[in-house]
Amino acid sequence: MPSVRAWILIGVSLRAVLAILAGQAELQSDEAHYAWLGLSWERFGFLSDSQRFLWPPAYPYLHKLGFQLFQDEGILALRSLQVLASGLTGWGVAGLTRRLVQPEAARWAACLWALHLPLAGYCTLGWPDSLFIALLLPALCFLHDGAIDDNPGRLLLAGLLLGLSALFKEIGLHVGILATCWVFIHTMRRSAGVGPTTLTFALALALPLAPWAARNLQHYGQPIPSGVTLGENLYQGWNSTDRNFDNLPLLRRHPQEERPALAPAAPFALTGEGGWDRPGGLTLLERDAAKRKGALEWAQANLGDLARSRVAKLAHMIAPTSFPVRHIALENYPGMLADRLISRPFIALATLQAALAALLGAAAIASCAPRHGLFWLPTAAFLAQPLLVGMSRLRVPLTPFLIIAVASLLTTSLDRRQRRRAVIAGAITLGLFWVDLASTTWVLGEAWGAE
Amino acid sequence: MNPKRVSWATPIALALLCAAPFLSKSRASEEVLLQRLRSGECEALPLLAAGYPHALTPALMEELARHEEHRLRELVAHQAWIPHVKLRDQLTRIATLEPRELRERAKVWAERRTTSRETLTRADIAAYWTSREPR
Repeated sequence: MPSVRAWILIGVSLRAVLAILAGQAELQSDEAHYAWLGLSWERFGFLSDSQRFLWPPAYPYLHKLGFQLFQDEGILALRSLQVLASGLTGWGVAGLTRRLVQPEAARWAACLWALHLPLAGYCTLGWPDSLFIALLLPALCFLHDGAIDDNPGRLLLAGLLLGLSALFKEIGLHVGILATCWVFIHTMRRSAGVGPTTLTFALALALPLAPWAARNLQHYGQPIPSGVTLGENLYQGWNSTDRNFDNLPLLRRHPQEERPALAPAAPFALTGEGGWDRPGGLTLLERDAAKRKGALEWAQANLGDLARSRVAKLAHMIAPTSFPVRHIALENYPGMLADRLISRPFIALATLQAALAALLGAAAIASCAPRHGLFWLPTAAFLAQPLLVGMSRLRVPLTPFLIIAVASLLTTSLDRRQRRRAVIAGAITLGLFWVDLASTTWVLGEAWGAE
Repeated sequence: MNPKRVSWATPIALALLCAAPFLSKSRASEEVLLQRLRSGECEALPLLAAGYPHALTPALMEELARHEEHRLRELVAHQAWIPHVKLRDQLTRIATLEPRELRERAKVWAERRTTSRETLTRADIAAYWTSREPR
């Protein structure tokens, strides 16, 4: 089997080939919003909120920088950066596996990461997830080493990378806070007091966020460290209508009367009645607060719906489809990736890989995943995302951890009890596939039939 | 690095660096922000929208639409004006912007705003860029 380095090279090359085959894809939904924010930042000199939410600034900033340096080719430049940065993700996945499982598993992890088409496909798209995990995984490796050796240099680097990741995606902040708790607990378990080394990590985490928080204090009167998205996510996710962003843009291309029914399986579907409208408000924070209030009121009045729809959201997240496949269905790729000779094998392989990653990943997590806070804390944070909304893109930061777990499964012999747990987890995952079967098969069918 | 040599200097330095951005940020008054906006500083617009939303009026928009600096005229189409100014009023104002290239660029901001279902396309970006005046 090739070495970890060789797999990283293969992985980056595969992503580069995919980006070339994709061509300059049309912008879809949030991709266009990020580009709008970057373009307006370049033109007017400020980043605005999006009225409904405030995204962390790093990805719009990279768009702005791309436009400044490469004019209307700025988006292509950013995609190229994502391809190059994916090498860091590969290094991080293998490195974390080597540290938390064993060296032999690291090679498996690097191989699985390199060839995982859904993950690779995101490098061709305009969401911040690829760059987010390129910062997160190396950060966790440095955090591991820094905490073990009480090495402030590594903890400083880990904190800075985690802080930067929170400027790409808000969940990075939550992982950072969990990691800080882990560092403190780890230090206390070693009977060492909370000293300068531990504080170095926490403050390094805060450092990249400080200028942005100070800017937000000036703008909104609150030191918002990352983003303001909770209210909008609650509006989308804690409401009486099930919104699955894997099929929504595709459905909108069809006239209302021709749209198929893609609700989750009956026990988990919502009635669509008794929902709440997006409230107004003069400022972003007022609107966000009003949405949080609306969501809480809806949840209190519809506890059963809330619980049932969480299963549907989880099913949306692990459904074996992906945004690159959705892009094929939307006919957004102008390049050879849209050619059926290439798109159909891509769809088949990406679907198979996504299904296997979810099935084996769940089995591995239930049986032999590393018993380490630096595996479980981010995994739990990413698994908790369907508490708000559900879509396959939320799986992007989770996938590296599924890969680490699968690599552990491939290099561990399970005892009877572990096997039983693995089978139960696999069966639950199959059940979740069933919950979202109507939507998944329709999206895949649309992609398969796309010209 | 030798763990025994770890001192408090690093966390103290980091804490000071974290605090520094907060020291220089104070909220400007409405008058100051309006003055900054009129003198060509577009960055004052989101500060007004967040801190003094009532200051964003159709009258101010009309004033900026005739500003000698084209960037300020184009700013009339920014989504930061909404909901303080009605979208209909904004679109009416955009329709009066001169010259024509500027009006077309302004339409991109307004019609492809991030809350719109009609989102920004690659063709929009290319057209927008070719109509930009040299900096």
